[in-house]
Formats: sequence, C-alpha cells, structure tokens
Amino acid sequence: MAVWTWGARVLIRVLLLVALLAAAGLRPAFSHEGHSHGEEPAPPAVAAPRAEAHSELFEIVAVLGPDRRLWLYLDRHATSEPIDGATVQVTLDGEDLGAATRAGEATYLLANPALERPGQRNLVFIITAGEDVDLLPATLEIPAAAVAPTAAPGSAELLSMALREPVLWAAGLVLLLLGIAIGRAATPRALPPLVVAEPPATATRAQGLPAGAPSPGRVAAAPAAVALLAVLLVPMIAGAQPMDAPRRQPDGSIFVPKPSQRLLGLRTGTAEPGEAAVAIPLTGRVVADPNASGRVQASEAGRIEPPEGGFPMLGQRVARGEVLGFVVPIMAAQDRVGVRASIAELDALIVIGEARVRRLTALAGTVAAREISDARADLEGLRQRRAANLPAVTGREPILAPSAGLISVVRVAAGQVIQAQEPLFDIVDPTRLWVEAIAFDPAAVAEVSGASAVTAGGEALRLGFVGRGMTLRQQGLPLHFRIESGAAGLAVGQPVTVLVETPRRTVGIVLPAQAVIRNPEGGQVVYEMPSAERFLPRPVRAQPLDGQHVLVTAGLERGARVVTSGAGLIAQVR
Amino acid sequence: MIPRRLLLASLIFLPVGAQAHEPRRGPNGGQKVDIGTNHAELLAAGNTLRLFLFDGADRPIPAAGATAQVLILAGGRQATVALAPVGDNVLAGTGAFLAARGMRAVVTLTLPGQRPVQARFTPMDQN
Repeated sequence: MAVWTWGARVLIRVLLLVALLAAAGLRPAFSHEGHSHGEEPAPPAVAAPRAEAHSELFEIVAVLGPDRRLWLYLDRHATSEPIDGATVQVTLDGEDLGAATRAGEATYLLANPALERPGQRNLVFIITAGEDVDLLPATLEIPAAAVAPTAAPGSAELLSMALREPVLWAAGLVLLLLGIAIGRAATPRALPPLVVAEPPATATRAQGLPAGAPSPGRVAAAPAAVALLAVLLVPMIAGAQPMDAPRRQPDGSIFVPKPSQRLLGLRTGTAEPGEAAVAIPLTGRVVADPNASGRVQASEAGRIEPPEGGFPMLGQRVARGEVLGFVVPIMAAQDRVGVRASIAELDALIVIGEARVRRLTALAGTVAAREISDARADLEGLRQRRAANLPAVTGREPILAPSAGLISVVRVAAGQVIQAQEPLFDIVDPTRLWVEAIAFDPAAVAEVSGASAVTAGGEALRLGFVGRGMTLRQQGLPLHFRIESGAAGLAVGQPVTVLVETPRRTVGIVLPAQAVIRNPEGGQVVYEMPSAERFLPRPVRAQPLDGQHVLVTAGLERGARVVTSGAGLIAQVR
Repeated sequence: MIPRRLLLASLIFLPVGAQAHEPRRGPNGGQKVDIGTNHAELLAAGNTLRLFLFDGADRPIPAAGATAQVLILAGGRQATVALAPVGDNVLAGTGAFLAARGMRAVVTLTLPGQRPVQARFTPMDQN
C-alpha cells in the first residue's frame, strides 16, 4: 500500500516537472512567426451563437437568439458602460440589413430573414453614438435551421414537450413525489418525551420557539425553495432575450454574457501605471475628542435624583452646564446627629448675637463703633456657618454637564445610591471624534504625511494627524488622528483600519479597492477582461493606499482592462 | 490536493498573446493588421485605396483572382469601394471619399477559393 502511494506521488512529480519543462517549448505553438493570431477561446458550446468586436471607443456583442433575431449589446470599450440611444446599422456579407431597434437599455434588436441563412457570416456594425462614429467588423457563425434552442426553454415549449412525452413526464413526476416522500420520512424527529408530565406540544418543538413558528427544518428549506423558484422564473422574466448562464470554463477563465454583466452592473477600467505614497495599515478604534467630550462623575456618595424633566436619555443633546441630575448626600446617623447638633448650637448663638447687635445699636454714640461692627461681623459669621452646615442634612448637589454633546452612556436610575467618582453619564460630540491607532513599528510611522481609515463596513474616513505618544502602550505606540470627514453613525470604540501615508512613494497600478478580491485560496486576485464576455483571474500583489484605492505592484500588465466594479460577483460564478 | 497541483501545472499552458490584432506599420508605410490567417496593409491617399497582401509570415502573396470590398467611414460619410488587383500583391480602387484623420475602413477580402474575411483599419491614425 505504502509503495503504491509512493509510486503515485513520484508519478505526479514527474508529470509536474514535464509540464513545467514543456511549457516554455509549447508557448510558441500558439503563435506563428513572431506574433500570435490571437486564438480567442470560444464561448461555451452551449451558449447561443455570438460575435463580438471592439475598437478603442465601442464594444459590441451580437447574440443570435433562438428566434433568429440578433440582439446587440453596445458598451464603451474602456469602461464597459452601456451606451443607450445609439444607432447601430448592420450589414451582413455586404448586404445592408438596416438599423437595429432599441429593445431595452443599451440593447438593440435586429430581425431580418438574412439571419436565417446558415453558415459563417461577415457582419459590419456602423455605430453612431452622439459625436462618435465607428465601424466594427465581426464574424457570426449561424447554425443550421434545425438547431436546438440554446436558451432556456420557455413555458410554452415545456408544455408542448410534456404533451409529446406524457408517459415519461408522468414517470418523472411520480419519482419526484416519491423522493420528496422519502425525504420527509427520513427527516430527524424529536424524540418522544421521556417525562410523561411534559406536554407533547412543547416537546416536539425546539425550546424558545413560539407555538406558531415553523419548525427549524422548514426554515432551513425556505431559502432553497426560493432559490429554486428564482432559477425557474429567471428565463421567463428575461423574456425572449437569450439568457446564457455565466460559467467557469475549463481553461480557468469565466464566461459572463452581456445580459448578466448588465445585471451585475459591471464596470471596467484600464490599468495605467502610476505613483503613490506607501501606506501602512494599522488597527485603530474611534475615540472621543477629549476637548469635546465629557464624563460625568459624582463627587461624593449619595442618592441620585432626576432633574426637572427627568434624566437625559441616550442620544439626547445637552448643553454645557445643563443639570443632568442631583446627588443627595447620604450620611451615617452619627454624622447627621453631629451636624444637627452644631446647627442647633449655631441657632442659639445667632439668637444671642442678634440680641447683642440690637442692644449695641440702641446705645450707639456711647458705645465704640468698633464694638458694634465686631458684633455684626460675628453674627454674619454665625449665619454663614449655619448656611454651610444646612445642605449636609437637607441640600442636594446638582450634576452639571461638563461639555456640550450627545449623551452616549447612561448609568443611572432614580433613587440609585452611588459611590463617589462613579461615572454617571458620558457625553460625546459626534462631529468631533478621533481615531486612536496603535503602531507596533514606531520607526515605520516616524513620518506621517496623511492618513485615512476604513470601517469594517468599508466606509472611508479622512483623517488628520494629531500626534503620537512617546510611551509604548502594550508594546505599541499610540497615534491620534482627527476625523475630518467621513461616515455618519460612527460609535466610540468602533474598530477601524487606519492607513498611514508616508512620504515614501512606490510605482504600480492604482485601482479601486473593490477591484481586488480574495480568491478561495486567500490570494489577491484582479479580474482582467480580455474580450467582451471573458474574464481572467490575475493573481496580483496589492497594497492598500487610502481605503478606496489599492496599488497593484505585480501581476498586471499596463493597458489591461480590469474589472473595477462587480469583481466579487464574477468570482462567485461556478 | 493532487488535482489542485495538476491544475496549477496546467495553468502554465495558457496562451499569453492576447494582443494579437495590434495594428502596426507595414513595409509600404500603411497600417498592417491581421486579416483571416493572413496580413494586409492598407494605404489611403485622397480618394484612392491600396491594399497589400501578405501571408502570416509577412511574405507577399499574389493578388490575382482576389477581390475586396471596403466600407469607409470618413468625414461623417459612408462610402463603399471595390478593390481589384493592380499588381503582384496589390489591390486598388477609388471611391467617393476623402482620406482624413479619423477615417475608418472595414475590408472584406475574398481570396480565390476562400471564404471572405474581414479586418478593420484606421489608416490615417498612424502615429
């Protein structure tokens, strides 16, 4: 057994080696005398007959529908943007077939008996779109008349097929129903209740599901049923337009017909080499600007009481100095008695003092003015001492907002007894947020020429550099950035990826960030569009630039047409 | 594991020459492009067109028996010109057009005993 697997492995290695060595020798076989004649791989054999042509202005795809009508899809070549309202005149083998009529957005339709003649036909499209005029030649292979319809059969055809072969269809239906019955019978069921007292109605259902909810098995089947329905309905919705399915071809390229490209909203761009600043990605999170946020803490232990209109709610805007609540100090019984005693004592002293002032003022003239003013000062001092002592037993301390902003955290309830320094509210100004990033390589961020950030949802934020710390925190150097513009609805603590631009520059191809996607193996891939309906995955080395753009430094040639929007959807074609 | 490796190895066999129809300057100063399996060079001057024929290895091929139809778009007007052999490997013809920058032409060439083949030229946009 071991010998067998060893032998197989050696065989594979030898084959790989042969393949590698032969590759260099095989390549010229595709070309002749210096250049290749561009053996464009054909579209899948099951697709409708089609022809395509392009110039630097336009790209046109002609698809012969099952009803022998020619569907034309016109786009800009560089961007793959559909061109609506153009005039497309068609000649076939030199014979003028007239102009195609508009059948939909940037879709044109031509019906002519000449399109029923089988064989290889030379087409010339004369395209007028605004100021731009162009001639495009193409070759269309028209199949013989008895060709099977290549598009999905319509409902009428299905019906006629059913009528032609009733026995076969009935047998198929019976098998389908049998399969469904077996499937239902084989589904796992909940075990019968072991405890007799447990009511059977709840035992057969999963815990926590209401009585009316569908069982989990049905819930799981629902998306599958919807998908099946969608697959069956798509050809009917599309009408007579030939809908070929996008598919992955044996050579690794992906065939996406024009109608599907339109549905995906696919756009392309030309790869032009450029220069961009090197960006370093850092992990960061949103923090509040310390000058535009506040934390409300109680200065002493007490019981919380709401202000006039109740406690401020989450998200409520408060002004600086606004009363957010009151703290009623709580005191031990002994302390309270002491305070009360001193108040009573002060009251007595005040009465004596008042009498003394009255007496002395009545004798004004015989008593020294100094004595009268001393007595008055004493009395005033006693009254102030009483006023200072009184709040300790009866008063309450207002809690004021230290800054203007929105209430972002509420940690109070009426009547709650709090300790001193306990945080009660957090106030954040949503227009003044910062981002704190941690750089684990302090040397790399020694020079910061600009910065941007991307949220987990892909929204880009523009940042301004505030400063960097001089002390490592958890082995990392904290950097602060001000959010200058960007997404609304950011929350404090939200993680973001910060891209720090440095003055160093590298050369590469700048592409939108959506153009680069991850393939199942984890590598970065860009989809190149060598022809109108064919896409090739190109493994690339890319580094982020500013959240919306990436720099491709290897794997892409200049001038290549690259998918800039919808690449993720192409990657999902199987 | 093993099929993936084989797949990777097979990727090497992919053809690379996608830019095959790149127009280039021909030996007579015109624009040379691929037409069918052959090459053709188109020269436009005034209202005259000349088409030189070469095979895939750029050796001249005899023009005797060959015919060509040219659809021209120049100065916003369409014209059709028929070309006839005038020399060893040259076809020529005149028509109601004036060669100007931005001129586009589609040549439909029929070599004796072969299917008609087409090619697109922009003879006045050479750099």
